[in-house]
Amino acid sequence: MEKEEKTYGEAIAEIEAILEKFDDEQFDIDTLAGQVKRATELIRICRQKLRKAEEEVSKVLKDSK
Amino acid sequence: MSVTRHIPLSKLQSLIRRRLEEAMPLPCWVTAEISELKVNYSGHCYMELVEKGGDNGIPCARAQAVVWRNSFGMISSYFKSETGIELGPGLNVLLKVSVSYHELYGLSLVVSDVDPLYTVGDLERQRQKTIKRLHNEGVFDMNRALPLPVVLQRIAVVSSRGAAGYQDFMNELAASPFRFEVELFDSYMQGHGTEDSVIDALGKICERTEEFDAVVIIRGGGSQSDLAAFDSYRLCCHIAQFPLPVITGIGHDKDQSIADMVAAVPLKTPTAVAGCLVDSLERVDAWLESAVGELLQNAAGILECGQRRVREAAIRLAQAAGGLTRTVDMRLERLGAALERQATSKVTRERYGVEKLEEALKTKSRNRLASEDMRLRAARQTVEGRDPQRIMALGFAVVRIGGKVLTEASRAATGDVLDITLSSGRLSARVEEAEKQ
Repeated sequence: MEKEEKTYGEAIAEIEAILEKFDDEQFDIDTLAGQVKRATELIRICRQKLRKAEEEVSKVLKDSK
Repeated sequence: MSVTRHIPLSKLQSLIRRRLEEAMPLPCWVTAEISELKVNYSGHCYMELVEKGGDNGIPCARAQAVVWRNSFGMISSYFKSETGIELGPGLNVLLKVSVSYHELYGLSLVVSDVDPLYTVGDLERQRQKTIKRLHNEGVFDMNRALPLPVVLQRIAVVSSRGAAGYQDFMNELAASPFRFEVELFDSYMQGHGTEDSVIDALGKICERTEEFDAVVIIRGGGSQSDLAAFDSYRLCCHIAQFPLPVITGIGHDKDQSIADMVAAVPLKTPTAVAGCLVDSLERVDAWLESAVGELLQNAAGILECGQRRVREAAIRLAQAAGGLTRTVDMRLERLGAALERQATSKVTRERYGVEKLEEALKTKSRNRLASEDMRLRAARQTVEGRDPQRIMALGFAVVRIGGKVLTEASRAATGDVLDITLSSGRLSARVEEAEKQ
């Protein structure tokens, strides 16, 4: 797995693209597990980014007071 | 023509003498001005008496007079004690005289008495006349109207170098703590030359008025008669119109002289004049000192006022700045809170989105799996439906010819051996008849 330097937006876009593929009849079920794993990883990354952003925001706001 | 009757001169003279002595009710009182006066070595006093008529002062009568030694002492001391002045030229006098006519010396008046009151009155009349004239000419108050400089330090002195009064004056100044710049304009202060000499000195000072603050006219001692010069119209006129303030210390003890009247500052003695000068500098000194004190006080006051204003301004500034800071603070706090809220809600929204995506991932992947499962089930059914075993169980058989499945009868010919597979077991059969289609 590539060690992500994806932005949050790019990660979200990729997740959405994966979800879209699931609707496609041509979707190769062999890749499903791989795709789900990939999307789950992306979701984890996004969560991490959100948590980090939240922490930073509250830290910055606290420092400014 | 020949003269037959003649007499010797001495006879004529004695004739005149006799006639004179008979004619005159002698002695009689006579008014005259003394124009000359001499006391000779033997103590007799010889005078020339005149009567000035008209405005130009030219005598209209003149006579020689004598006071014999035996009466002169009495007369002169009586005169002086009554008038305060010596008998002398320039005085108008009332004299008791008898006419003496001497064959050798001619006519002369022999003085046997004097009335000093007449002279006193005359002098006073002259004084009043002079005062009136000075007033009429508008000069009387001129010197007195001059503003006295605050600092009297550069002094022009009209006096006599040897006079005791001048020495007193200088000693007094020297004893003071101040330094005066004194220049003496040497002058006669008594005797006949006084009037001209003082006027001359004033003239010299007048050319250098810029160099002096005031003029001091002083004399010490001397008799009262010498003061006549300081009553004279000419001298007083000069003093009155002098451009610098004149301070007199002429040393009178009775009435003021007219010079005193017209002088800016009349004082009695040279010592008093020096005291006045010293006082003026003391006043200036004291004033300077108090001014310095006042100045310091004012400066301190101004400084204090300034400091107070700065302090007040600083407080107002701090208050205003504080208010402003508080306003800005509050705005920043509001902005901060809004920022926090929005950031938080953004994160929340995103988290929600991610959760939805996750949910979607689960759902979709599950659905996908389920639908594949269904497809597989359907496929299995289909596949199961087509299972040859099952079909054969229904009674169908698979016919092969040469190992290949035979589906068309036309492909088999009579005699061909067919391999027939049944639900259970196999058969081998021979084609008897091939039916054409």
